[in-house]
Amino acid sequence: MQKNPLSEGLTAHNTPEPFVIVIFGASGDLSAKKLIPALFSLFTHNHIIDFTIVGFARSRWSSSDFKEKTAALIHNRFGTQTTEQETAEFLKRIHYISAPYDTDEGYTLLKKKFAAQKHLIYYLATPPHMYEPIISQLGKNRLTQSADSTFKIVVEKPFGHDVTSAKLLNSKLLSIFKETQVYRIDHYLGKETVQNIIVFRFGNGIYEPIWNNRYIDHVQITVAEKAGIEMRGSYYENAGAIRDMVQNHLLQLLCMVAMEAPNDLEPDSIRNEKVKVLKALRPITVDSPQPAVIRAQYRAGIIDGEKVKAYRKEDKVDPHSIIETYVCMRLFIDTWRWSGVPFFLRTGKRLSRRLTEISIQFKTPPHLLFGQADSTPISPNTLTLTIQPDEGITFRFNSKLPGFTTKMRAVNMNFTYGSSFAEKSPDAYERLLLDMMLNDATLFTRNDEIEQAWKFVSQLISCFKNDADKNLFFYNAGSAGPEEAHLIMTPYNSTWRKL
Amino acid sequence: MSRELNPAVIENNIISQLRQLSSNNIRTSLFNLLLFYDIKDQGTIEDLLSSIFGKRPARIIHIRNKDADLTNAYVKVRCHADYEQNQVCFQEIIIENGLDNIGIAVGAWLPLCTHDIPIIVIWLCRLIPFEDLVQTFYGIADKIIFCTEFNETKAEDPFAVCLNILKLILSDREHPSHPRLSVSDFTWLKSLPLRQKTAALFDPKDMRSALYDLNKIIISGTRRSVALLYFLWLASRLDWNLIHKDDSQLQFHDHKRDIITVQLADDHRKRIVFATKENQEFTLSWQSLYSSTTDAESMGKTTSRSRPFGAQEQVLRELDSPGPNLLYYNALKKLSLPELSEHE
Repeated sequence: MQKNPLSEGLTAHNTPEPFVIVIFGASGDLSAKKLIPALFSLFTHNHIIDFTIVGFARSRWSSSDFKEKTAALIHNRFGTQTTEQETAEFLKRIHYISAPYDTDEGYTLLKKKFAAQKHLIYYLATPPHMYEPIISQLGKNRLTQSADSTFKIVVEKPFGHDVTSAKLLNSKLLSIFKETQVYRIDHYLGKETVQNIIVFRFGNGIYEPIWNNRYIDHVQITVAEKAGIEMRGSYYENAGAIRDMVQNHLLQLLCMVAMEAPNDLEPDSIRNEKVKVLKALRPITVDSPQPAVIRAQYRAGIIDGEKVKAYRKEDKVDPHSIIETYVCMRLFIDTWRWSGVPFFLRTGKRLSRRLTEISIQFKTPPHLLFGQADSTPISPNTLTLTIQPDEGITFRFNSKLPGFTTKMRAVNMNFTYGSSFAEKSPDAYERLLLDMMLNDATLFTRNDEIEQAWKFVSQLISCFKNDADKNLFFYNAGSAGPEEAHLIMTPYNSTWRKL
Repeated sequence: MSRELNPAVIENNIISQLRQLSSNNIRTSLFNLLLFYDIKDQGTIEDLLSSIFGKRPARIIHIRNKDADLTNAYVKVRCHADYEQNQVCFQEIIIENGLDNIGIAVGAWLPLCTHDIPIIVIWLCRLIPFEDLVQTFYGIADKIIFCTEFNETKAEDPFAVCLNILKLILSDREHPSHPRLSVSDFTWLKSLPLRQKTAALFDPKDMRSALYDLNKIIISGTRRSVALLYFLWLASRLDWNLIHKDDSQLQFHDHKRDIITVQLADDHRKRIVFATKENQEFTLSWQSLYSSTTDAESMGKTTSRSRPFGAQEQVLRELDSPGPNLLYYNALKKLSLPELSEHE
């Protein structure tokens, strides 16, 4: 049968087929802060029309309780931007199942009430140790197999704890679902500015010719947070900055910057290119030139004029913890394009500001005509892609100071999203949820991507296994990180960008 | 040059008003928006602009016809808070074109456009004299947007209006030396929900064959201009050729040279009735073009799924799409009756 000739040019307005989304962990923070608001916003903007939300959690709530809490949440979050009618319409679509994750009880109910639906989405918003029992129960209760229905599962990070656990989780998932049904979510990829990296690189002709080791001196990727670990002490004690941020967000940003141009925008074309970058990452081992990695932990300090406590004093944190809240490292990608170009990555909590940026520093001119007379070093050209806050792109170049001399000064050419497009981008979760509903997996992580990232990170962590306490530095909360961070840059005559 | 139309004076006035109104920062304009209209249609223009207030900073030049002897001009800056409570400002230059016709001359408004950003023209005037308009915008503007439905309200025949737009597109292709002028029509976007609903109706595989078996379509509850563009879209997608036009209907040949008759019925019910050669009948009905519910009575099935598309979103979408819409161009080309084929 030939395709529908009328559908051409209308695809941009697709709405998902009617679906049921089951949120495991519906009484938790992620559901309240991200998922429900994202679904509500998609609903009010008419991106989703026919749907049912089933909250599934251990909290002993009824459907009325869940509706009541959702109504309060919508009121607090959206206030006057929404109407009572919209809220009422949304609440009509909400149900709740209170049951343990690892017994048949809730799943039997789920099957009875919703298994006849054509499209079922399972969203794992629980603590990660519950993933496996939920997946097993879905399989056991035949909630993933039906000739008349389609099923998808969305898995939140952390996806495993190391390469072994990631492989185990993948194999568990793939014993019940096909890879095309699995959506591993990294909300960073849903951010407009992260997606813009691909548009910026491959939608403009001038950057690709200079996007290589002939012109680029080094790349810095920074994900700095002002926030601490908040209520996640017990999770963070088992994770640390490397597992919490490097394995997913930072390596994803690195892939976006370093990948080759995909042949097209098909999900697998992009993901294939990202996997190639991860495979080409030179492993950091105890034999790597030192220091290749600096780990540190925050002490007490001042943030926004308020005293904040040290990591070791945080709730559910070991007072002698040797977990890092900051890490910086130097990486190399062993490809023709990136040979010899260091990539400097850093991330930390309780730093002086919240900032996510990718900065490409270009090589200085081969023959210095200017800047020698008064020994002023020439400022290198820098292209900075700011992901958050104040999303935008800045190019730094040198300009002549007015006057009779040839003195130079670095100036910035700025593009900020807010100034040009005074419109709020959709929230990352809205974008990712809608993509998933429309079967577009481009912004989701594939199993081999996850495993490659863990392979690199597990090897890195093993370098500190025996003497993690000796290799831990400290920094004051509210500062730019540990003094020792510069040791990573010194051999390359570079400095970290100011925070 | 009239002092009122002196670009330096106008720029100074804009800057001084911007400084008074927007203390945070002066944003970069994304595009020049040239609005051609009659002063009595000011309300329509305000409605249209409301879709980009707080969303797209732009330089807007109003060129409006006024029943006065002399052309005059003044500036206005309007700032609206965006989602972060920063100001998004419109730099507006209002040229009131008098009977001296100075204001409509290219030399009056072109120097006032911000250099090196796109120029988008919205034409909400009658389309005659058309040839002058063509010559004015070739090589200068990036895009011109018409509104056939608006012209219909001014008693202009939608068929004639669309034919003129087609001529503009085809003439533009005779001048390869200048940058292409994209042409679009707000009414085309307005027909989008109808097109979406129709595509959805015939999307199930068991409905697909009926598409090639249609012999009559009757639409009601919509304007002639919307219905015309909708029928032209169907013709282009299904490869029909126009063979006859009169006041009440259009007739096309399908690929088998069978006749398909399409009509706009004088009926307030919002619906489209599709009839096939096998005497089957399918009906699409809706409450509002932008509503999310559609009832489709087809082979005993009822569906109700469609992505509504608000009127304001249409304007923004049109301003954000710089390139030509080939789907629209191909639909317009279906206007060509055999006696008009020299325009092809």
